[in-house]
Amino acid sequence: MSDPVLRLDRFSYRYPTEGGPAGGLKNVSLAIEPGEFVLVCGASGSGKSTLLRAAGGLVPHHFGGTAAGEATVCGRDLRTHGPAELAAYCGTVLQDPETQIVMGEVRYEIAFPLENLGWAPSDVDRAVDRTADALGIRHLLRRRTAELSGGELQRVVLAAAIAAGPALLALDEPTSQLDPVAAGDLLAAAITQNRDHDTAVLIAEHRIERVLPAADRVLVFERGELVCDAPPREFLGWAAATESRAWLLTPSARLCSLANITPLPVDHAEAANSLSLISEGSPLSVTASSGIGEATGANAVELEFRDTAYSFPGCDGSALTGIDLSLRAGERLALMGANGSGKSTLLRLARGLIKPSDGTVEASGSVGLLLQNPNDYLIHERVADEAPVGALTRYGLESYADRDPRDLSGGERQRLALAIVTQENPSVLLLDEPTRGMDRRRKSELLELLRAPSLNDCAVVLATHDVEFAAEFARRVVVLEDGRVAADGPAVEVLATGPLATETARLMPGIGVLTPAHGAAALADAAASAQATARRMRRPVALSGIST
Amino acid sequence: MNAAAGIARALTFGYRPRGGVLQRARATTSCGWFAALGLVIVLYENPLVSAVVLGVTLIAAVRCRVLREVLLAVAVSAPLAVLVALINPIASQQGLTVLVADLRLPLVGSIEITREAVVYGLILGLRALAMFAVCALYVCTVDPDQLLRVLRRRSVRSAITASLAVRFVPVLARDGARLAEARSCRPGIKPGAAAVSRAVFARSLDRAGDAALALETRGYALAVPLREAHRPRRRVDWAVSASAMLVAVIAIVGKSAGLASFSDYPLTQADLGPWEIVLILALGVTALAPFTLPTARLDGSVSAASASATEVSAASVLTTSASVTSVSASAACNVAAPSASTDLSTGGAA
Repeated sequence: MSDPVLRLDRFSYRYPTEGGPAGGLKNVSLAIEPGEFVLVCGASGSGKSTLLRAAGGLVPHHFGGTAAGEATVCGRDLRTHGPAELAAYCGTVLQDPETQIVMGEVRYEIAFPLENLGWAPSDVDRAVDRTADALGIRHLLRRRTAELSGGELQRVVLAAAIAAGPALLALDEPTSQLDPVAAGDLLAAAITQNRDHDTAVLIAEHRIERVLPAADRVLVFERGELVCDAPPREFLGWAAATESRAWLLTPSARLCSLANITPLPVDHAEAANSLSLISEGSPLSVTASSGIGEATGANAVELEFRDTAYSFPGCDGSALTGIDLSLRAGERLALMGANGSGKSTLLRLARGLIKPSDGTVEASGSVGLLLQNPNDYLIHERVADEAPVGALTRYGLESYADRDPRDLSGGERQRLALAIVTQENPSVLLLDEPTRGMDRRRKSELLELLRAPSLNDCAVVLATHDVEFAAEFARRVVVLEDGRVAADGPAVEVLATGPLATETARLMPGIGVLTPAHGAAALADAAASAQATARRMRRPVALSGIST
Repeated sequence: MNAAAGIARALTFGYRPRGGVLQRARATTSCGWFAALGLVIVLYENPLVSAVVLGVTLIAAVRCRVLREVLLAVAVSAPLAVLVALINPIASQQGLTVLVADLRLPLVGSIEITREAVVYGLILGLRALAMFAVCALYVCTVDPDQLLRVLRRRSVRSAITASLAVRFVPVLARDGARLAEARSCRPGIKPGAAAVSRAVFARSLDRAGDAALALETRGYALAVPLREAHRPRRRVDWAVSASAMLVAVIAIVGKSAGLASFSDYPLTQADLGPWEIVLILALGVTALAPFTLPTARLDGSVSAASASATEVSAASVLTTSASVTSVSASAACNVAAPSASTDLSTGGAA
């Protein structure tokens, strides 16, 4: 067997200052073999980014700090080889494509690392063309990087990372800033690179379900320690065994875990197979929803669009056309649709940041808008200066009053941004892609915040691509397509079929269950019903593995 | 959209590869053409020359399909030109024609506003505007990557630093727009300008840190000088080079001959005789000659027949310009030749 592309032997690392990035590594031993596809999981600050930085030599050379133990990348000792020397062996892709692009034209961007390595011009040209073909971006080669979408940019970054043919590719949450389609394309490209070129891939990714079927191993980090290093199926069993780690499960694995179906499925096909018995057994029933944010016809209308249209100045065509929508107090609405369908424009119209070109937008009270990046709201040097004490207390931030907002964790910053926009108790709260780049644990925290009693009377609109989160949050879903309302109905209908169906809905079609919890409840009801029938018929039950 | 976000978005213009002569020529060659125009602005205070440069820039912008971007940049920078025009009458107490006497201003005290100071302020504003337009056209038509590749053969780190500075202008402008939008979403009292500026600065430092990280992973620290294959000069390169050289020569010769001279104080006087007209025409025709070459389609192709025809005409225009240069040179030798002087001050002396 050939040497590992990455080998850590009792490797520990600590960042230099308290203000530095969270999550060092503690006594980690592992080896990544050539051609392996390894998924790295863990909460924010658990150490997964540190591992990826170590693979590229950024830790400890770029960040400083103290390291102990042994670490080699393709046989090169991390102590004596920095990121520049390791660039030929490890390609790195970070989260934000905007800050990884150096050149103005795609061809030059892909050529940049090769030129740094001193390649001959003819070799550079050949490698650029070969890489562009491999990733299907040849048509972008002469495009300006400033004109590319986030997804296209990240593929260019990936191309630059693999152009030199590295043995290891380290991807640090590369899809966190991308929409689902672009994210899917990028992950598919990484998987192809792994399969076709035998490049070992080390990837930290929140959308585990997209990567898990391709993974050979899964590494899980907690507080800098490697707590799980196992193949995907064993990892799922390990995560399901402890409730505090259940957030690591994919939706289908969560559904099966709640229904006590074993072994847990690694992909959709396995999950569908596991559940096929149920569809042949007793009919499934739907349990009652949690009922949060249930709007009633008696509630007052808080926000109303009447035949609203909007066109961007100087642009042909309308961003929004003929929008007729009303939102009542306490309602929970998910606004969905592809990129460019008009979701963000609709929210900006509702907040009054832009004026409609035609029609009207009327709000009975104040409207709060939380934009995509909560950091944009953090202006002051003290948390206490950002929002009044009452608002901080409501979001559990009163003990952080004297801290610098930039020192807070990602979840705390989002709570602070929410405290800022809700400090005057708006009657309508709008959230633009609040779950982008979040792991499932942070999404659960956000869900709890939005379920807080203080927001019971507030109508909440959430623009999102995240169907699983929308299913947990919303009772009503509006789908925009090319600036028009393409669908407007209950979540159990809109998210049950078609491209917006949740994983649970696709596994259990036609019965109106959207979330793993509801799916498991329906399975339990079905099992109970089957057992009751069997008892009456005095026959053994065929639903082995499902407890009631 | 609020004003800050609007301005931030307006500033996100950059290189536009739209098939114009300046975009198709080598970046270094186009730089030479811009340097020649800049030289004209620096050498001549005569407002007619500045107006010609502005006109040449706008016509070139049309031919390079970037007029909208250039006009936008000029509109954004116009307040600065207006400021220059307004400050000069207050700052300069020279000139013979007093328009307002004993004007009392806070901090400044008692001042006099003279016609000459007002006119010179306007001329300074026009020169500033012409320079802004030239810079905007430069940004839209010169490929920074190409330019930096030339620089990378000599100084890798400086080139990449400059590259990042150019590349991050739109990124930081978008950051600024987002911060401005988030600020307008805050209920109650909005944070002051100082707090927002601090946040913008902190954000730019974060961006710099992220960019440094990306550079490290691309092997930047190796700093290997760029090896690049030789690319032969094309006709468009020769045409732009010839135009740049001729503009520079005409400007220097004209200045040496004392053509288009300008006097700001005590009375505003600008020369406008036949030789000045020849000079202005020579500058304009020479600078615009390469633009008789065809603009490529956006896929980069140029019609062969029209290309050869117009390149011949461009060459003939440049030949004509060369003969004009020789006329200017002979004018320079004849320093005693009378030149009509137009007195811009129409009022009597104070």
